[in-house]
Amino acid sequence: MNKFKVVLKKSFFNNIKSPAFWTLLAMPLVMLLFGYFIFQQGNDNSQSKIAVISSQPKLAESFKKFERPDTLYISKYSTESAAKKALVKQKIDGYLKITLDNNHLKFTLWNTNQSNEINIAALQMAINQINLILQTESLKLSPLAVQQITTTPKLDQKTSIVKNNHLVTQNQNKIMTKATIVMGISFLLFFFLVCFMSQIANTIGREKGERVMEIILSSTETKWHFLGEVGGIFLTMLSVVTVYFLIAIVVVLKFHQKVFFKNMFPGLTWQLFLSPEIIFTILFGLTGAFLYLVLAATLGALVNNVEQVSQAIIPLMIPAMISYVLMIGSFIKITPFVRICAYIPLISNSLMPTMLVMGKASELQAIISYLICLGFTILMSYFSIGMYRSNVLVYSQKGIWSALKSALTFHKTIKVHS
Amino acid sequence: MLKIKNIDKSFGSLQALSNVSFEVKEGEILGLIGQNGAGKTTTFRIILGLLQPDQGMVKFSGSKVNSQVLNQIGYLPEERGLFPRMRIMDQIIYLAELKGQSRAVTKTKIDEYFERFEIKGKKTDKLKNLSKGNQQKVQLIVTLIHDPKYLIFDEPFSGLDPVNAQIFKEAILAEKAKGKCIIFSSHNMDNVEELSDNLIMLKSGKEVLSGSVSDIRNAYGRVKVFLESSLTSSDLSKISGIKDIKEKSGRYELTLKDPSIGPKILKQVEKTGDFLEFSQQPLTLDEIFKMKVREK
Repeated sequence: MNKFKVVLKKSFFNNIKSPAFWTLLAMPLVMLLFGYFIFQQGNDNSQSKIAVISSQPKLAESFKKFERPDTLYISKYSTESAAKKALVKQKIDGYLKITLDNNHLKFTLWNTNQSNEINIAALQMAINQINLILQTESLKLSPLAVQQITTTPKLDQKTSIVKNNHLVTQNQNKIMTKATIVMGISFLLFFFLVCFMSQIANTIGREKGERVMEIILSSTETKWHFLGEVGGIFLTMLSVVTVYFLIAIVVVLKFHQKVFFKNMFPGLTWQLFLSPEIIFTILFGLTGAFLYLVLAATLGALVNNVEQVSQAIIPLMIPAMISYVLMIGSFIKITPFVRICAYIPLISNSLMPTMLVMGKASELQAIISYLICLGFTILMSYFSIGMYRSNVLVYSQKGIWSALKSALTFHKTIKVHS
Repeated sequence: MLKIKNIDKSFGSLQALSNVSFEVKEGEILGLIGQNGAGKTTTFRIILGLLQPDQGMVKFSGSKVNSQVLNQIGYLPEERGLFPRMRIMDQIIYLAELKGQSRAVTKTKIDEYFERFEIKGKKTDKLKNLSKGNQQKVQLIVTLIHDPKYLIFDEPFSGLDPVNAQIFKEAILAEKAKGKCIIFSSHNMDNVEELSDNLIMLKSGKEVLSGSVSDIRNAYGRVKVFLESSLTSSDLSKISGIKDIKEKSGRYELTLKDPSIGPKILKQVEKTGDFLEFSQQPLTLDEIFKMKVREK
């Protein structure tokens, strides 16, 4: 066990010293900065200035009340020709001409293809409001009457999911937020898997190629070395996940009051993170990641040198890709085939949590799928240690599949401690 | 004491080892010789517990290989097995930790070993920046730094220049003096003869020679004669019982069918009353090795 700790420590510290680790860590920060920069620039550029030209200066002035961060109204231009000149010189992004036509106000907006984009919806809303004020004044309506006329009935959507033969009402916003979080976690784990599967296979392949394996295995039992290497890279992955999680908390704390954030994650609360769907996503994600790492390490032991590693782990990319594609597809339609796949380890990792959050699978089904995944992971770990033991000191010039075949043949005769 | 008894090992249809037995006592060096593929590395891997024998047993002072025993073994493999991109001190510390020695203890020993083995380079250098000979010396440090009781050297002198080979020999002899059980393999019979107390020769996985170096040499009798006299090659060819005559700069190397021919040759030489050298010796280890390899 002590030697397991020694290998684990070495594997972990070697990995966190690698440029790949720091690149992974820096990536969300770079993306956040990049996003923030684009958002800021977008904000700066998107502020449009609209000149309002009317024979009634008071009417032009009234638009000031409807100014927004992205829309400013200017009433200093009294004539259309003055506004046109300002538009040519790009001092304004457009001008709104208000005329009277058969006792009705007519609004015409002029802009150019070089102007900043004008928020038409905001402008239309301002026009509606001003028009309403003018109409109520002319009809001499009381404020209460105006309120009664303008109040629209509210549509509240409640979506139920079937749980244990009962309808359970869920807030659609919360479902979508949870689905977004589940998808985000699944995507990140898929991305990490691709990175860390290569890393563990490379480490094993390199140690084998550099013939240091004989020294290591003459010092410690194979299982401790195998589990130490896999555990080290798993811890590295957890470290990256933890840092991403901390960054996510900071982002949530900083932006949770912002409109765009509320639109993206409606109904987001801290309690949401403790919901069964998110917990299952994390459990499936971590167990699945460990399973993939175990298999990648085993495949890494099949090669003669590090150059053959990328070829060796290709078979492992296939279920990872299938899992991800089915997860995306499950948002559209759940076929019987997809339902079966949700119980197949290596594929169920991201598929079952998505089905759960969309209400397409029950918690009981998720538990069964998870137990299958967990059992398979334990079984494969045991099998992989045996395969690793058979392969790690065997150098086959006939290729990876031949090495795998030999390993299966000599599985019982070759023993490196246990 | 390291005891190997009746070891059999096969890989599919290939019989790699067949009924191999030997023992190495404290303070003793055993030389393991044999052609490539004779079964030397398989023997080492079985001793190290890297392979499971089909039959037979390996005992270290009465115990089977286990975690504690592994800590007491130092192994220098035939091919260098270190991390080229890792700092020298980091890998020595790591590999010693795997042998159960703490970081702190290893750290205090590194400088001493660097000095003793005259390594050209700093302990903070990456291994790949050292010359091949110096890398091999780092491998020797890794083998010895945890003060193991049992030492296994697989072709330790391969690729070393004479100066570095001498450093290795001195290191091995120093460990012998400390009472360690040592096994080593080599294709250089001079090294085997110089270092080994006992030797085992494997051929296709079977023991074909076993015993002390002097016993093995003497078992074939003193069938070599080195002669420098006025006798010519044609004179010598007239003497019956001489199997082979080789001449180099007036010095003859004779191979006899029987050691008893030696005194007869000596009489002939004495008759001439003029000779510089007459020496009757056993076969060299190298000759015995080649003879055994050719035997069917």
